[in-house]
Amino acid sequence: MTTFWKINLTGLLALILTSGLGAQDFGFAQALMDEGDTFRAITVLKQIRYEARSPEALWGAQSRILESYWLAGKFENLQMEAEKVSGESGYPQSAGAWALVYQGLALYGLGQTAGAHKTWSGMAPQGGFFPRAYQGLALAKQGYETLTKTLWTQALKDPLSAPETLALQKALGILETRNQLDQRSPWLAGILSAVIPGAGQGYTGHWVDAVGAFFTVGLLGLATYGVYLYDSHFSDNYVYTGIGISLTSLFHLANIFGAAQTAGYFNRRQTDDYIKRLEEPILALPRNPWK
Amino acid sequence: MRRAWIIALGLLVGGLGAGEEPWEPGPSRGIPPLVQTQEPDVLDHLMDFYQREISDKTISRCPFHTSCSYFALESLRRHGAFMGTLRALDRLFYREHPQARFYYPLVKAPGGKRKINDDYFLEN
Repeated sequence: MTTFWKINLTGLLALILTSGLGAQDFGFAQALMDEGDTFRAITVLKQIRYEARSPEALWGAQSRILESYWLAGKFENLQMEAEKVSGESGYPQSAGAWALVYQGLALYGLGQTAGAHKTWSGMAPQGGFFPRAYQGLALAKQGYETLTKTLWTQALKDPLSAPETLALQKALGILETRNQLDQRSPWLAGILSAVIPGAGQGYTGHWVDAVGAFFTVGLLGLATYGVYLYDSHFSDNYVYTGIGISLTSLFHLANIFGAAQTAGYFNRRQTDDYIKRLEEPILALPRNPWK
Repeated sequence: MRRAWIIALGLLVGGLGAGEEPWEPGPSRGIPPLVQTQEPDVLDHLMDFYQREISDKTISRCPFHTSCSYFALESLRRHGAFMGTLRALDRLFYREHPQARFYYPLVKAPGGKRKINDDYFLEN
């Protein structure tokens, strides 16, 4: 083989053998994450993780994978990846605490708020800002606003960064609005609909439902009355009237029940919107566990 | 030289197979697949008949993510005959209209269409 080919082959071999050493470049993955292309970011990060040669590089990739799964809303994958950090060696010491934070976030995202609270409360008070802030969110979501207020007020007394302080103060302000939420009584909605079909739906703002219920039950009632008049003049029994009354009653009961359910749904939407506003300042804080 | 090429080729091919799909949950986590263990009953047969013979032949389509027939079936299953009937009547006669999209959240259904999500009324 000529010298030319020997040099080129040696260079090619060197490139392949050293390609792993240059792989801990998170710039591209970070750019993908910043763009919101979490699918590709995770693919790149898993490649980097596979080729990582040090605990810091491994954690740099794994922490970004955790953050990407959170941003993508893939909570089951997030839970699995966070459990990997707890269960495997090769990560730096600080990784364990962050893994618990993300495990809690995975449970929170999956709707297992009590489990998330348990995970974060097990870390307090050594866990730092994030476990306590998230613990407060979990408590507020379960209806324990007083405990959340106590927790966050205590957290404000610790030395925090300016964004953390601002976030907690904003969240505490939103917490105060809990009692001012617009609520509807399901009982009142049911009673209103019992008196005037559709009134309960109107009480909760579902006006199209209200009109539909009013005319449906109204027309059925009128039809039943017509059938009653027919039966009273032309029939010796009131079978058709009985059928008419049964049908009208069934639709009227459905209207009453629907009004009560609609009021319950209205309250649920108000609470969900309130929780979303409460979560926003806390969850929007950048975690940056790789720093 | 030939050995060096074989080693280089092996390293290259080995590097190509390193990744996995990011959304794949990985090795088995012990979660069993969803298996329908219930035998089809009368309601299932009625539903099948309705969806095959009647629903397919009508022009209008339910704007809800959970179709009205499925909602009725599930209501009867979960809440019994009486309460299930009340829920089904409420959905069919009072809440199912195009303006319902202003009252309930929208979700993306298979096919890319946005449908109305009122699962609250099925679950509560």
